[in-house]
Amino acid sequence: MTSKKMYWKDIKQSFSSSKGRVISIASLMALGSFALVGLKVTGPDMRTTGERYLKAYNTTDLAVISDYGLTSSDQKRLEELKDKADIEYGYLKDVTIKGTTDAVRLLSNNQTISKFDVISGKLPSKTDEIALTADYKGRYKIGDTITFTEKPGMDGKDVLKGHTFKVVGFVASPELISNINLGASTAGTGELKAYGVVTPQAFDSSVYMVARIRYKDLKDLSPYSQTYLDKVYQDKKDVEKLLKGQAQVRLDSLKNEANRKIFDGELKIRDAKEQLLKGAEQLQAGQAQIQAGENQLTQGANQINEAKSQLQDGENQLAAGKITLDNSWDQLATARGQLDEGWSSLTAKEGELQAARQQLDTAWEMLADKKEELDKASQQISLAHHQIEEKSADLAQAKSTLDEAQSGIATMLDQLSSLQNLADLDESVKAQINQLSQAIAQAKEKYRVGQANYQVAQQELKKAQETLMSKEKEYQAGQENYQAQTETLKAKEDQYQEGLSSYQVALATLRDKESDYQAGLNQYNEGLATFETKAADLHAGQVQLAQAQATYLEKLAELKKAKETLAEKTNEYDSKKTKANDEIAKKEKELAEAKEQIEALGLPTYNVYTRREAPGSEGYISYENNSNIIDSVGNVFPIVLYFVAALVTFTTMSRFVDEERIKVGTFRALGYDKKDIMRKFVIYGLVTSLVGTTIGVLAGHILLPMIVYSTYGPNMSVPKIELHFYPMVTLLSILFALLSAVLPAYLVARKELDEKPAQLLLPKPPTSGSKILLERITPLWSRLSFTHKVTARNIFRYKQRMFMTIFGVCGSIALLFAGLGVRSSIADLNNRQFKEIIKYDMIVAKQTTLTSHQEKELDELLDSAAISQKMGLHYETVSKVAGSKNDEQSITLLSVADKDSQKLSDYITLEARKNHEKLNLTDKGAVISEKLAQLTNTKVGDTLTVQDRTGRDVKVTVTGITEMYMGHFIFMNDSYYQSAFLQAPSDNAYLIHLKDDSSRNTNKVSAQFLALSSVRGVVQNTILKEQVNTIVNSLNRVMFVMIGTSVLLAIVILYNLTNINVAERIRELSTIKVLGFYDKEVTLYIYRETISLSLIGILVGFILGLLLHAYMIAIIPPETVMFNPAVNWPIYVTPAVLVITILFLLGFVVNHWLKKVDMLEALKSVE
Amino acid sequence: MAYIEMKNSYKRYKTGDTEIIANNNINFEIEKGELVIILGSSGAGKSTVLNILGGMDTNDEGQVLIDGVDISNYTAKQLTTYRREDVGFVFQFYNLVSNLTAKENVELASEIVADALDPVATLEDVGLGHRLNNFPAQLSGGEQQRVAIARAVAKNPKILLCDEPTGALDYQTGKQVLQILQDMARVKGATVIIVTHNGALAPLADRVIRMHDARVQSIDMNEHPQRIQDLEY
Repeated sequence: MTSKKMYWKDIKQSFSSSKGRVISIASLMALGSFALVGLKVTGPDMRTTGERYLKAYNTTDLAVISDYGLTSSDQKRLEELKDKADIEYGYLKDVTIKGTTDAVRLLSNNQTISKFDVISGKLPSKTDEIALTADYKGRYKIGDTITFTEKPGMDGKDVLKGHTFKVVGFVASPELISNINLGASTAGTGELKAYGVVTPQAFDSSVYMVARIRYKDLKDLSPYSQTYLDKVYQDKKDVEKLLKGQAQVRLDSLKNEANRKIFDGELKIRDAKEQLLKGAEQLQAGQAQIQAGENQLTQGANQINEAKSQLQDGENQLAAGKITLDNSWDQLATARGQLDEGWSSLTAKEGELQAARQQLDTAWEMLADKKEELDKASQQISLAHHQIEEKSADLAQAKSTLDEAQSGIATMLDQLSSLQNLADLDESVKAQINQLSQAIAQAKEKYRVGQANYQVAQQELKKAQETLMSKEKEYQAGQENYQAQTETLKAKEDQYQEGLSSYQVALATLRDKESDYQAGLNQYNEGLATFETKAADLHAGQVQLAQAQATYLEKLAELKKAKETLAEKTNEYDSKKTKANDEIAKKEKELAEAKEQIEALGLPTYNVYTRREAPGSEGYISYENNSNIIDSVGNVFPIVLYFVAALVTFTTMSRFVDEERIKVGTFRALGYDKKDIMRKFVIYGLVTSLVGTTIGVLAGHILLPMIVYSTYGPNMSVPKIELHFYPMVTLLSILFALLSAVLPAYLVARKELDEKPAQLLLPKPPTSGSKILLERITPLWSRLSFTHKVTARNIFRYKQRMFMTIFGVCGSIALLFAGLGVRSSIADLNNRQFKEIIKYDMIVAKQTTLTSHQEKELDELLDSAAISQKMGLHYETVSKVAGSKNDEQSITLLSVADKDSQKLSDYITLEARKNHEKLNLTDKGAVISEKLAQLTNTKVGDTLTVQDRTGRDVKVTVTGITEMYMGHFIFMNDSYYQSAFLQAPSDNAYLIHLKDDSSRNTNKVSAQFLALSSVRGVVQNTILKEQVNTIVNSLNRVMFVMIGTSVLLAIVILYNLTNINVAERIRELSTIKVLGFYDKEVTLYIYRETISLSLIGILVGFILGLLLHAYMIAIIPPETVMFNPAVNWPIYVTPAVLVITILFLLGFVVNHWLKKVDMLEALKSVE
Repeated sequence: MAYIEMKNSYKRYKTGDTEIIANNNINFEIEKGELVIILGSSGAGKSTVLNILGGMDTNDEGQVLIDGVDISNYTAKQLTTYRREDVGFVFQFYNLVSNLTAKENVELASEIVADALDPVATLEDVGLGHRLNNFPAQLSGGEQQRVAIARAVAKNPKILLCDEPTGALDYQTGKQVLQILQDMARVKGATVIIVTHNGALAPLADRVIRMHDARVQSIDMNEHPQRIQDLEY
């Protein structure tokens, strides 16, 4: 059929000739369906992903955690759940990475419940192996070692056997799914940074820390469903009931155990003390021994000294003896000499004696001879004497004659003799002298002759006499001689005899002497022998002494050594003693502390947590919140958006059918039937809207979930979001598409087709001009410039377009306003909350009772320079079941001393949000935070019932509701606390202002506090901040997408409307162009209307936006967070500026279009 | 020198490979205050001449001198200014803005020029003093065309260009309109150029330019133009 060909050609042409409209309708449908599908699909996608993940790793439904661990008695109680649920016990401990303040939770590997998802590597199989959270993949490699610092538990014992682990893998826990907000920790800065899995054997604990309970009947329920929540809360209650009373049991056994340990400790201390005493005794004994040794040595030394002096004496004696000996020896020698001399002289004497004897004998013989001779001589002499006497008498006569002569000579001789008397000289000589003298003189001659005869006679006599004389003399002499000789001999004999006797005597003497000598020699020899013996003795004594001395020295050295050893031992003992004493003192103190602690030991709390409440559930909550937030946004946003888009599409389609009027007439005239015509419009609407819807549905199914995933993906260990196809919402989109694009086409076309073809061929009479309401207000109207009048009239002339523009713009503005408003409501949250409302940097909660040492430690830190201000108060966590999920809401209760009520404003601003009225704490009631009031639907004057830690209901009268965006709070003064809780509040916490409140410093100080045993916990604002940040982040991204969508919507609407406007009024525009309107004037001629309508739309949009915003912030935030409903001026300005910018840019586009409009072409044809 | 001169003007249209010459070496002169009729059958190029003279279109070659100024090289903006200040248009289909009253339609033009005539007076001149506040839909075709003329005249233009001004009107009304146009030239001293295919109108003009096949066929001067009342067509 040729005609049909033309028909299709016409359809094709209707598409190609109206590209702007096709694009507009498709875009509107795409935007609408994108927002609807995306927001409706993302939440379920997230939940499906989460659900599968949780199921795949058999995530626990309930976790039971007790302050003091779970004993076998607890386990027995839990056993009762056996047929309903699986139970697995595990260990956990919060530690810090060595050298940092990063808190890491070490969990024991679970076999069945809450299994770990191994991202890479493997799970630990040895006690020194660990698998870390996958978030730490960048910081550690498999094979690295990691060392932790553990704060010992209450009993002072480490829970971990070893603290260094080898990284063997990276895992994700289905319980701790957030990487950035893992909740509170008892280690590090108080904020958990990561977790790791180790083998259960790595723990050294007699009790389990956690019991995980997985219910069989909950396995197939979606954890996000209300059924699940209802059931799990019922199960939770059951478990709580099951464990009732266990707290007391546990406390008792713990106290007993601790007491036993204290007793043991005391025993040990006693032992130690005894040992110390023993040691002291030993030392004393040693000291005594040494003293004795010393005494002995002194004695020895004395003895040695004595011996020495004895020896010295001996020596001296010996020396003296020696000298004596030597002397005696000398004497002996002299004696010998003398003896020898004696002997020799004796021998000589003997010889002499013998010689003398012989001489004597000879002499005797000679004497005897002489005697004989003398006797002969005497006989001769006597003969001679007779002869001489004869001759003498002859001579006596000669002599008397001579004597007379001699008398004269004698007289003279006398004289001479007298003279010569003087000298007694030999008479012969004298006589001779005298003779000589006198003979010479006178008598010599006289006498001579007489004499000479006489003389001759005499001489002869004389000579005879003389001879006799001589003979006599000789005899005499002989006699004498003999006599003399005899005498001499006799003398000599005597002498000899004497000599002999003296010889005899001498001999005897000598002999005596000899014997004396001999005796002396003997004595000497004896003395020598004695000396030698003595010397030998002395020597021996000396040797002995030397030995004794050596021994002494040895002993001395030994003693010294012994002393040293003793000193050493004493030192050792002393140091050990001080150490031991210190230790003992410490232990005693510890024991005392332990005793105090036992006294202070409260009832343990058995917490039964659902997945939403367990420690580290921040991720779970934030994941669920994320999905719910998107749902919430999806409940409002796309509805508005779709509505606007649909309305604009509706109008556009109506216009389109209107425009095709003449063509319809022509086709009708040519004989096409109504169905054909109708089909054309239906096809047009269907194709354009479905193309758009398909794009939107696809983008909604894929793009938005991916965008949302990109906001939380990097921060969560949940697998990548699963994309599912949702037929219901897809069908809904298609239905909307049909409603907004096909229905108007059908309706308008049917109306047109009811007209006669002839009528259709005529142009529809142009909308007649008419007076508008404004004109009736003459004073105003007359003041308007001509162009404004024209604009005003035109605006009202095209009412449909007017409404469409206003509605489109107002919708866009409202969406933008709400989107930006929500962003601002949350963007400012952290600022308002943590700069203006919560001004403190942290709450430090201390242990209920502190030892004086702990108190001192805590005070020191509290007074340190890092802290600028602090305030003691009572801090307590109470709870209240509230909210749509019936969660247990944790409420921070702060009670301040009555006198400090004013001071509290330095830390927390208590004021009503709307009128900024300051709220004071009175003893009439408490001030509660706004969100809590909202959740519990409490108003000022109402009573709010909360549960304290032990589960007791406490009624609190509300006297004020304070602005607060995060967390739930109850503030009161101590008097009211007393009357509400019926017990006195304890000063158990401090609000703290830091000098440097940067998060790094806050973490640092927080870690310092947590390191103290006196600190029970530190509540930092960071966790709340993080919580809000995650919401802010995901919401921001979603809102950003929505804002983008709204902006696109605004663009499409304005473009579309302008497009319609220009197309509809092209003749009018050509006319004024021909009239000489400049391009700008031409553009403004038509665009001024759009601008005016947009401005109205903006204003209306603000109102709608405020409503939308209020609604969204009411439904979006999770139960612990309130968004700031206040809207500040940028929220008004930004969307307005955006829309105005779009208008402005579009103005340029329109200007460009109009410049190109061929005025001649337009003027030629007839309308 | 003549008031309006078109010298060696060419206008060509290209559609695909073929080139259509709409104006082929057009030359004519028009004196100030003349009533000129350009005659020609459809497609003779008369409207093209009018459009070029009115600054709505430009020629490809040749000069177009208006009061001694060559507008052929004008930019779009200059042309707009030229249209705004020197040209008044009357269209076959009136092209009134339907949302504006008669008076406002005239004002639409008078508002944009400095030495505009009073819109009310102008409308009274075309005999519509009693229809000032009527919307076009409330006026008859002739009345609409008279409003259109008033709109064109109110600008006090140098040239009044009319494209088949009576084309959509009945005989009587057409005559009324022609009367007004003639009066404009005779009484107000405006230079009026009317494009028509209706040769019957020729005796009215001071100068008749006949066009055929894109060229000027002839230019005739009427020493004594006929009065409208006497015209029969």
